[in-house]
Amino acid sequence: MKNINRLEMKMKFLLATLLATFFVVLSCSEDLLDKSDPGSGTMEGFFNSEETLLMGVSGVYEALWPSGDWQTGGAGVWGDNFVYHIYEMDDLTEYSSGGGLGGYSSVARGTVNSISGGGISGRWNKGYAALSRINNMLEVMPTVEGISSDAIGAIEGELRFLRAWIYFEMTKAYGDLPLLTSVLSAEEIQQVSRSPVSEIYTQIIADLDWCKSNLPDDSFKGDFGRPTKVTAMTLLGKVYLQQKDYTNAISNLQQVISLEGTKVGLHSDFKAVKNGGAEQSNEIIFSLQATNDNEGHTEYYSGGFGQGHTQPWGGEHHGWHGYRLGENIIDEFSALEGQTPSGRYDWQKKDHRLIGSFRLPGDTFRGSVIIEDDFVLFGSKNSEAAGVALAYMRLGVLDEGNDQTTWTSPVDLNILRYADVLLMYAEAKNESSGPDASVYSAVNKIRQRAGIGDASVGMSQTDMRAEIRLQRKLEFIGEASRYWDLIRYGTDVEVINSNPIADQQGGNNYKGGYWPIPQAAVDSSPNIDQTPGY
Amino acid sequence: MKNKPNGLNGSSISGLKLKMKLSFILFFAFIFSAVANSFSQTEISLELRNVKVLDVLDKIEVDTDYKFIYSTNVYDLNKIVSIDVKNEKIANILDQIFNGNIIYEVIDKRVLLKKKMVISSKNEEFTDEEEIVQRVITGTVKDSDGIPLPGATILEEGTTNGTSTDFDGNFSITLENDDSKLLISFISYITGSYEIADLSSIDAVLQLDNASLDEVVVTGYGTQQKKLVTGAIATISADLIENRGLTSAGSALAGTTAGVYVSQNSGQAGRDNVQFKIRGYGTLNDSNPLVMIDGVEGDFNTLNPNDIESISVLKDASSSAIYGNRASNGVILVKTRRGRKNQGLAVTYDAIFSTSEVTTLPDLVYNPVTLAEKVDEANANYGIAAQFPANEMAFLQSAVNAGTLGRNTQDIYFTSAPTTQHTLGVTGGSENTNYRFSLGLLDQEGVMLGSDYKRYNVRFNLDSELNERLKIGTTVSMVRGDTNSDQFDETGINGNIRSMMSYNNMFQPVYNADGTYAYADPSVTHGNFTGNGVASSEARNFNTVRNRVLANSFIEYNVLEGLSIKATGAVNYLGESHYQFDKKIPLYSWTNDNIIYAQPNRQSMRANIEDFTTTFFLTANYEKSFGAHNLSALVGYQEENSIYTTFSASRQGHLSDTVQVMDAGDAGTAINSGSETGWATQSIFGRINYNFNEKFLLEFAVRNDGSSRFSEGNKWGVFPSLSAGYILFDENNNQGIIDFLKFRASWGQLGNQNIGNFEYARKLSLNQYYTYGGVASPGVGQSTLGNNELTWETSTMTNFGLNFNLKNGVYGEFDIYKRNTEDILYNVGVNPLSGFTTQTQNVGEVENTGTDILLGYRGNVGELNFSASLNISSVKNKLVAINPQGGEPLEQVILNPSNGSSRILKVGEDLGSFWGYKTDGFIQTAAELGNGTPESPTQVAAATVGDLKYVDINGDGKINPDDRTVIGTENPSITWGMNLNLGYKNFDMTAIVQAVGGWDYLGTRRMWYPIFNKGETINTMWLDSWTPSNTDASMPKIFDGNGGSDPLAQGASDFWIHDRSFVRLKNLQIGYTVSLPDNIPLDYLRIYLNGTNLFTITDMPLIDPEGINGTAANELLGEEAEYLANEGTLFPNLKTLSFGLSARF
Repeated sequence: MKNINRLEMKMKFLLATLLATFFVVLSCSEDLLDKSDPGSGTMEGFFNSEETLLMGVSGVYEALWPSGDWQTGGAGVWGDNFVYHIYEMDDLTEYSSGGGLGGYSSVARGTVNSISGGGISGRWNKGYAALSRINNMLEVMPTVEGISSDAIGAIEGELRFLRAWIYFEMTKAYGDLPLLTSVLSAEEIQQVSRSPVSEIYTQIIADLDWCKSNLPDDSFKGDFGRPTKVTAMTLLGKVYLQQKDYTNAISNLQQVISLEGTKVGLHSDFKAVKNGGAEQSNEIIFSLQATNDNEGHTEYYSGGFGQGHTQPWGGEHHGWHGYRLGENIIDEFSALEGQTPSGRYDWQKKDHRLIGSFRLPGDTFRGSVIIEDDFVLFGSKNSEAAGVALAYMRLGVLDEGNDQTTWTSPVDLNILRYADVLLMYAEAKNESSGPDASVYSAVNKIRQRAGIGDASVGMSQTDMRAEIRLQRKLEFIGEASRYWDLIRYGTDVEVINSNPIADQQGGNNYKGGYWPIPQAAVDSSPNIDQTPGY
Repeated sequence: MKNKPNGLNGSSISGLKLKMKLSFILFFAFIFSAVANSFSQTEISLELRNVKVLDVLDKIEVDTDYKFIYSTNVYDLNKIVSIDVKNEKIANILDQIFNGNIIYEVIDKRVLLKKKMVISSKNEEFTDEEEIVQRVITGTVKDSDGIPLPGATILEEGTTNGTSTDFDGNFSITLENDDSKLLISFISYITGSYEIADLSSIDAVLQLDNASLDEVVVTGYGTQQKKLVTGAIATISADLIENRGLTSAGSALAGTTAGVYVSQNSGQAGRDNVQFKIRGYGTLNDSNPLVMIDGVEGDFNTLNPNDIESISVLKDASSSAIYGNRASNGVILVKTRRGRKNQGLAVTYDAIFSTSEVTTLPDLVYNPVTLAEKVDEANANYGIAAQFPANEMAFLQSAVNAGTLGRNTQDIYFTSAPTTQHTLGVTGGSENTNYRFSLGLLDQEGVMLGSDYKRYNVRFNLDSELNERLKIGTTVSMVRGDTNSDQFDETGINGNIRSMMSYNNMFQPVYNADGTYAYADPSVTHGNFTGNGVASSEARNFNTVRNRVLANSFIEYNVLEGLSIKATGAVNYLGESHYQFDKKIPLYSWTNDNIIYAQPNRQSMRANIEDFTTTFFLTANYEKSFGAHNLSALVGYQEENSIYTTFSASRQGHLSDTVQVMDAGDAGTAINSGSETGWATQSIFGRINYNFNEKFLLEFAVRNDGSSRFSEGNKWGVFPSLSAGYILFDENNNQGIIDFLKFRASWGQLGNQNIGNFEYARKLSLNQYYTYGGVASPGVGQSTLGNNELTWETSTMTNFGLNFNLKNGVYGEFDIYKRNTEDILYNVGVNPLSGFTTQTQNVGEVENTGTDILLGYRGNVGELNFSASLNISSVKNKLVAINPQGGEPLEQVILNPSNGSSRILKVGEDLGSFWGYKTDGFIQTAAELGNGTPESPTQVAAATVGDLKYVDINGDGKINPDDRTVIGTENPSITWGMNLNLGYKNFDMTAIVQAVGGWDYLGTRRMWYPIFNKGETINTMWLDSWTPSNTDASMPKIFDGNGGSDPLAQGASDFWIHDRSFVRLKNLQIGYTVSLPDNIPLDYLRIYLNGTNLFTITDMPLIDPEGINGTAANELLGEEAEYLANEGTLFPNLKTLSFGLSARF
């Protein structure tokens, strides 16, 4: 009986425990469901200091240009990308014919449509992704206390500079744009329509004017790559020039030129400017920074040697060779001062920019001399294709000693450099008042570095116009400049359709005008219409 | 423990009123009753006058938990008796009503009534000769697993002579007639009929009767008698699952159950990827059902099929509502085998030896000359110079002639491979404790080079009644799955299956003459290295080990009569580790002296994933009968808490292939990463079941669920359900040929919380580094748009059904339902101007309507036992509305439109609709390009003669995206299956047919973009491509370049649609049970041959029609898999032949 009593007691105890547990769990685990995301932070509360705001700024670049390369799962090379295959923008000129990866050749061919991918949609999608981050950060900034005014100027300035640059790059391509300058609710976003180009430029100029007054003279915290007053003035000059507002272009660019020797200048070695050897020199006013660091952005390898050539570096990845350059661009480079080249590829006697821009026969790559048969496209030799040059773009590929095994490169993407300032100034000045001494001075600095001597004196405005346009063409190969220049000149249709090697991409049938915007943008917005003609 | 007068106190007025409605059985009855715990002590009070013996038994059954089992001829049960006892033991009551002529045995809650063997006075009168005629037959009764069935009834046909089996399943019966037959029956089993002839003993094996109404069905947090179920619940018994040579339990369900579509999506060793869909896709979200194993959420596919006792599929809202927030896609309840009480020790051993091969591989071109010709045909089509000059063609041709090239590379990579499975089970039970312990081993060689899988299962189930009130039990299972897949990364979808089938070894042999690995020098392949998959496979070791522990323990306390409280705690642990090492394997050019390496760098990688969920639930159950009113109620509380962490690290530059540890790599190349996430739920739930006299049935259930996956204020949802049933005919009241007929109706609401863990939050991505001046600077960016208004997705489901059994052995179930799901959570495309492309919103409303039909027959002709069933389900799903937050209702959402994607969500259409252009043959003449057919500016530029001709659907004279329409669906609209079981003497046969219809497959990018890379081969369909001299071709002009051979639609046109319907012999098994002499220690032995996926009827030309693609692939394996699956590059299914044996000692 005693045992039974003990058992009963135990059972009662157990019952009491069960019931108690029941009530305890009901009353005490209310916070069980209040999980905060342990894997990553959330917008609420993360940005609370100068340090975290700077992280938010870095995050903007990620939206423009995702880090990683295609082999490690990033989208930096193949995916949506604001600066998608920047060198392939030369497909939209008279001397290059692309493999079509950037989508630019579809514009040249006239086959571009609302579902064309690559740079055609990436510029829009990534542009608005970055603008969203910028506007988010601009909205968060005032809520963060205890930030010095210097820091505010630098941080807000960098955000506004990027916003201006993104809108500029987008309005050049798409024309009218939805203009977003603050964080909108889903309902508000649905109501947005495309604002006219003029309003976009008004916003760009407003942001850049703010930057001009608030950005520091030197890079904040010494971080090379952060915009400064000079960066803002340069872009402002470029923005005015694209609109042919020569007066304002001249005044901004003059201010930059006045800083030559202190803050800006031409780097002596043109090739270094192209292949990453002068990344942090005075010449580079703004660039998108790449590294091979796992934590950084990598650039897409361009213009290296693929697997089809004869040299022992075959089989490894040295870049894409899927597009071709025309002999016509090679022939534009004149002889070095006092030299007589023996032929088309006698680069040692030609304009330094020829070998600075291209890999050519006789050059060396990883210890071997490049020969004609190294230039192949999908197994067929360049030498057997009419009008096709024995040349690959140099840009993006490091020289000797680079044991890169992925299709990426640590070379920064040049966006604004001092050579551009000089030539933009020359153009603006020549267009507004003809070739004066300052125009000659600017043009000759470019020519001298190229080793081709001064321009002939006494040129007419028209002659000088042609000279400046030629120098721009030779100076900025692979830097996504020529197409926008042609549009500014108003000669884009004529020039692009004259491409002698256009049959490499199926024939050019370039129609001019703005690009189509992604179909998704039209499908998801009741008030946004497709670009006329698409 | 003492008398507890109930509401039917005879002296009350209410009792008098009620009795008018009671059946005549109780006409003069005044009832008092009380129930105690065990039979020997149970005392009840009865006051019954002039009733049949049968009615007294019925009354005792109603008042107590005990059920009587008897043969109707053990006694004259229609004899009229009167009884008036107070607090009398049942035993004494039985003695009283049977005049002591009956003895009984109690097994669990069943009371076997047996005729008391009395020496008949008649017997004494027999002569010696006559005594010889009196034959005694002995025997045993077992189930199909060889487990003895105690209490089975043995009846001599045409007489009232019967007996029942003892605890060990043995019986002995003295026959009344010479030429007689024995009918052997047991609850839930098909009655067997045995000719005696000149036998002296019979070993009967009874088959489970899936149509049996006495079967106990596992339901949410409990069980229910099948007869009384009001919801739509399908049950699958173990014999359809076990012993089929399958590598995962899930695939065994295919074709067995109406309303359940099962697809095995891969035949890769260790990655069967079995998916279930209950009643179609009802959501745009995760539409996988909840799988509960012994009451705790678990993984079906790693179960050892031989551990499963039964499976219940909860299909409608009323049966699933008790699972509230998890149940909107239905619930699969798995009960694993446990020991039985009072069962001796039994050791079972099952072994299966199988050989498998892939079902379907695409038909590809393997002659490099043919491929080169097609490449140059593509070039010629677009005016590009030929790339394979005559001398290279001649070289390739000579290599083909020599047998060096041109081999079907599929043969290099795929082979037939053996699998062995062993299961050892130890099972038993005493009066208070029962247990089962099992060990399983699966050893599968992969049919693909470099792949294999080993799985170890351990399971221990134990229940023990500590005393009359206290019961404890535990269920522990551990599974270790070890997968080698050299060609795959951790997701299993690296795409190398495509490489193997179409890409590797096109332009080179596998080995050089000296036995080294070969590769093709670019001078042969025009710069396209086509890979040597055999070398790659050797170079890469990729191994995945998954350790899964699913364990739960419960303690149940019987507070007072009818009321028990049960607390259950469970852990579900998954530890997954990946190991990769890339060796530096050299490849030597087979045409010159160059060397390359299969993997350029040695590297090692390790990754660990830990997924840990704890579950605790507490339930209180109350069961009580008040006369004919039977009530049971359940209330419960449950919480779950889950964390998920990952960690991975890698290094490169190991100095040697032989030292593979991470430390041997270059520390400077080290990369590591880690992540963590989690979720929790909290729920209160309750259910009331009521029935009146087991005739009118009513059930109400409600669950209040909270989930961490929603933002503050939106965490909780309430999900009610109500169902009712009416049994028109049953064993007490049947009519004509109808033995049983029940009508059911149910309504309920269910939730779906199966979205990401923090979809509501504006999440940040923390690894957004940017470099300033070459120095990495940390960056942070908002990575999701977030949505604070997210709320529950709610399904409202109405179901009408009926069950019937006919006396001739035909039975059936019919269900018709409508499921309306609102507030469907979906990651909708949002305006890209938001900076994001998608946001999770409650946008969708989907309606599923369908019917589930089950028709079966079971019976026997002589010794031929026969059962067959046909299940048919049709489901139509329709998108009712898309209502984005704060926006106008949408007519359609085109999925991934920027890629020219091919799927759409469109109001009024199926969720799986393909979206694209209609085509009308090819553009045959230049005239059709211009004015002849309307073309958009786009197509004018892109299209040339020989391309697909699109139809101008809207008639606006242009072909542009406005001409797209629904061109097919990826969701099956009809599925059916047939199951057939035959038993003849010692032979048995099972066949399962699965059929799926009304769905389409949209061809892969490999089809419309055939020459993506010149080293990659093409489908043989392309041999009949359009050329100016072959205008009557089956394929359009082959094109190598931007846009492929479908330039505008990018593959999204009906030209690439294939009907995916198929009928498949899923399983065929023939078994033989060996008759064993008594003098060996083996009690039972069955051997069998089994075939899986033996043949398939289909018009689907490209892949195994059951193979995964589209949304299903996305759901199962993610976006990347969807892409690859749409390319037809996931692993095909397997055809398997097995030999097996089951033994019991």
